[in-house]
Amino acid sequence: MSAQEKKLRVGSPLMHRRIAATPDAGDAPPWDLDTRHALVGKRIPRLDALAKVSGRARFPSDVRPGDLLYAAVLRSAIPAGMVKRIELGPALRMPGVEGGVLAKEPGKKIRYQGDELCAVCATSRAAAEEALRKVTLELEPSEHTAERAGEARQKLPEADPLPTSLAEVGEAEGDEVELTHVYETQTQMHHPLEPHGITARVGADSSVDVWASTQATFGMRAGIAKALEIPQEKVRVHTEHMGGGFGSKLSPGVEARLCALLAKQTGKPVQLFVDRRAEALAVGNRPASLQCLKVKASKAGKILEWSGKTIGLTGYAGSGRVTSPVSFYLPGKRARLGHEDLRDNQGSARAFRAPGHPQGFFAAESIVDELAYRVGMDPLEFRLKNLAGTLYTEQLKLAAKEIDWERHSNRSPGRVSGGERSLRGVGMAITTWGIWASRGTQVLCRIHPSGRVEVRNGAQDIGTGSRTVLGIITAETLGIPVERVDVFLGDTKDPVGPGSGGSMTAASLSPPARHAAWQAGKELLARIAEQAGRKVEDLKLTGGEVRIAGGRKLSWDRACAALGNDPVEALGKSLGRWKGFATRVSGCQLADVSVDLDTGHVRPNRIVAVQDCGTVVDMLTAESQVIGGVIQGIGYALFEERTTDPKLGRVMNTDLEQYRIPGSMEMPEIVPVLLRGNNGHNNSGVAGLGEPPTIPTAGAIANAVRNATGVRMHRLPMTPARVLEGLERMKIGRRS
Amino acid sequence: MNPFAYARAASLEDAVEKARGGGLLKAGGVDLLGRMKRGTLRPERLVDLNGLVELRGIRRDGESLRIGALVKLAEILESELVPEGLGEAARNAATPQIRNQASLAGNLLQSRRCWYLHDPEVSCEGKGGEGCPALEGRSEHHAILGDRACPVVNGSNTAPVLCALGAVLQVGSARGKESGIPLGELYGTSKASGKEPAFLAARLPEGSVATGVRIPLSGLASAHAEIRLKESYDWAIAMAAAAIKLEAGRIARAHLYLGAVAPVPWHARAAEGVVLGRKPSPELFHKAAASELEQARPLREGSYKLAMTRHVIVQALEMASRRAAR
Repeated sequence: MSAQEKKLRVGSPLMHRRIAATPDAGDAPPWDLDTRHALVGKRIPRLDALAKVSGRARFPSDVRPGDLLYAAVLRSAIPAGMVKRIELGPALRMPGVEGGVLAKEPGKKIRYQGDELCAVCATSRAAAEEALRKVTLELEPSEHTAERAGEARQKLPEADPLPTSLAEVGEAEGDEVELTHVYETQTQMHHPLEPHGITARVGADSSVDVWASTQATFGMRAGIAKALEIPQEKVRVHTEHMGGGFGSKLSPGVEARLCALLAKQTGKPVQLFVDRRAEALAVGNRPASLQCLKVKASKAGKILEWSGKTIGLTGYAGSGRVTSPVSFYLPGKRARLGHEDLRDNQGSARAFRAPGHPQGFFAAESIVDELAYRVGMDPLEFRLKNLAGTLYTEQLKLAAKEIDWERHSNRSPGRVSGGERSLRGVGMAITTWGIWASRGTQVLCRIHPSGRVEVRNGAQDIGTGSRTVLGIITAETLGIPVERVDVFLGDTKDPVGPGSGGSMTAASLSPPARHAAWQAGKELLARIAEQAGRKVEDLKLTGGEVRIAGGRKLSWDRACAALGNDPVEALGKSLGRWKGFATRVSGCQLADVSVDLDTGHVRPNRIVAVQDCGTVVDMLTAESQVIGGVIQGIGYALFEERTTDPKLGRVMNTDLEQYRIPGSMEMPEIVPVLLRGNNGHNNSGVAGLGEPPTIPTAGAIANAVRNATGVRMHRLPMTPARVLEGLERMKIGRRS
Repeated sequence: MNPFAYARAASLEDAVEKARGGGLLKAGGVDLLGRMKRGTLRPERLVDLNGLVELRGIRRDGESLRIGALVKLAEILESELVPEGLGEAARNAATPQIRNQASLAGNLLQSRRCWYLHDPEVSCEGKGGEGCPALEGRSEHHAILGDRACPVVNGSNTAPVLCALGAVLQVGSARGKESGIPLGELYGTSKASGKEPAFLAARLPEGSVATGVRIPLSGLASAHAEIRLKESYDWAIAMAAAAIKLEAGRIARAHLYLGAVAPVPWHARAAEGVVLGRKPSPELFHKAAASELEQARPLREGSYKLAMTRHVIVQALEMASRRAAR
């Protein structure tokens, strides 16, 4: 069959274009902006909402196979050195202990505080932890480099002197304005609520079952197979639900390997979930950065030149690279950007929700914003001018209207007119993210004679609603209520699926899910046509009914019952790859904040988040993604920071009392604005949404602080101490 | 956490008996279990006080109010009998879940706070080692007033206001005798280190159990103000509690204590001296705060706490004097 060209209208309701698409033979007809959906884009509660809020949902750390042993890990108390002696003997003789493995042989290097030394398993977690105290251990400390921010600062060009009055930050003289700023961002911890770990059981036939808190079931399968030196097909990973990862659970860590080895050694199921302290030390972070940016604009408000030198402080491994929106502000021109990573004796960098972006966008959006004030232009107008012709301008206008920029933006930043002890302002920042999908993903769809539809894929639902996305796509394609669909995720015996990284789970699952449902529906019609002695072309599946030319109708249940003993089954593939609307998504956030002049507290009042994500499959889970991104962004902007003692090389805030994440009282009104778009490219037009909404929040809040007080914040998080320092330096709101 | 034996106390005498030789008393268990999990405390035996009904209840008793040692912070903040400042102090503590569990005596006697002290892998003077890593290290949460050798802070929410109200801690012994220790004296001087481990906010007489708190009802109006980095579940950066009596529009009595800024609930005598005999005004309270903080010596990262402390002193004095004027 030759491919048939189809005319489609794709993009966002704010900006769209007509394209010609050539769907593969057998694929479902592509949706576009003009498609009228029954379910897609509606507000549909998660399919597993009740199971989760009632505690029935089973997480990998809830699994309790019979004879289960609990493992605990001994970690290095020193940040750098060498293992001189390590013996498990005394620990293995402790009551209840059944196994032990070394993570480091004598002679191995200690890379950071929290580095894994060994693990033991016992009949209770307490027994395992007590046994670790008996391990014979000699470590030889060496000099460490735990804190290299000072050294990094020396490597950067000198920045403009910090202003000491409002007069210095107003409109500048001359035809051009050039700013050189240094911005610093902190190390942020992932802290998913379910810690890292697995439960592993080695069967008699040496096959292995693993219940893993992972965001990549197939990656976990490969990792366990490698650790146990067995073929991948011998390993079955189960992740029915999991409690968050934010990028830190993309690959199986040391803890997974140690657990698998203990399960093999003891022949009993073993569970190893690390504690909160290890979550803070040993399973990754968003690395700190120092960024020196030099940007020039004309007095007419056009950005002319951009260069930067950035440094990532990565810990003992990982990438500290930063990404900025410079290509949008300086289209067609090359920015001169240099980057260097500095290694140190701390926990390593790992992928963290939009790696490199929140740090880069905070710095870039801050200096862009400052340039607007210095050329004497409104920050909104300045961005509209420099982003002309892009979707951003439409999104910014929409967000400005939603937050009432005209009314709430502060025309005289830093000026205290009455006796008020707080100032209010609005700030903004843009965001972007690539649109990616895994091409190998397949989805199985079965229509049962009972009328229920079974959908299967081996990927996990990291908590974003992938299960619900599959249910909605399937139900929409078959024209049935979503309640009829049972979605099974997270079992690697099922068809291969993506890791939840790069915001690609929904974008990867949707096209094969629609293809599978479409094929299964066609097969259902073919079977009924055969039984009825009609041609398949005479049958149509619509509105949950089978309509036969000539007026006869069959309800969904009766149609399925006609299948007799044989369910219909189809395997959907990832088809289509025509040119869609864009290869990246766009978005922006506007934050309205108040700054307390006595205490330095920054309190967001309202944050508007406009985000494009192609087709919105479920408005409810999509909005939840955006709100979650903003919340994490508020944490990054105002609270979260790993605190390390530079002399000792120790992390001081390893619990959630001292590592502050925002709570309910810190929440402003968050207004997600998701427009129902369609990005094209394939039968469903879904683009990723997990990462982009956490990118611009810190920049928007920093710019709001600037709009309120005139103080430019150069460092995250914007704690009261740092805000007070800025207010003091600029002499804002001094008591007479 | 180490393996330990667990016993329930049937009476005060029984509690003292069972705790003898390595046992520790457990009320709400909030501070205790936290320390056991971190490994800075490894008791052989816990003696649970929760069966002792005589340690419960809030009741008016002549010219004073008696609050049982086991009364939960949640009960205090809901009670109409307690002074306003005490209700505020309880309301600001921790989270609803912790307030449902934490006892008044536990809140008053909880271990002092310092992230070096509570890290079992760090040696410091507060734990019998040498030196203080906070002096050159990460010190944003440390004391700004008092002895600098061990700049831990007392983080009890209820201690400053109870000190300001002149409350007395009641202590029972095995022989059934009850005695009283004024809270202002209980916490002693500003020194944390020395022979005592720095964890201990106060030491009760050997073989005794805190049974309750008696607050004299002497017509003082009270207020508690505190400031935190975040509102949901956080420790205070600074707290101030004031108890004030006005006569003919002037401050006739003033008691001011600060929390989270010194190793003990800090008696702000200099500030009291400034306001006594004067008419309440914001200017006066700013002056009082400034005069108290003249002696403050924050560590390297702690100077922002000065602004915070100034803020809560002014707030507490303002609220208490407004209430006194009612």
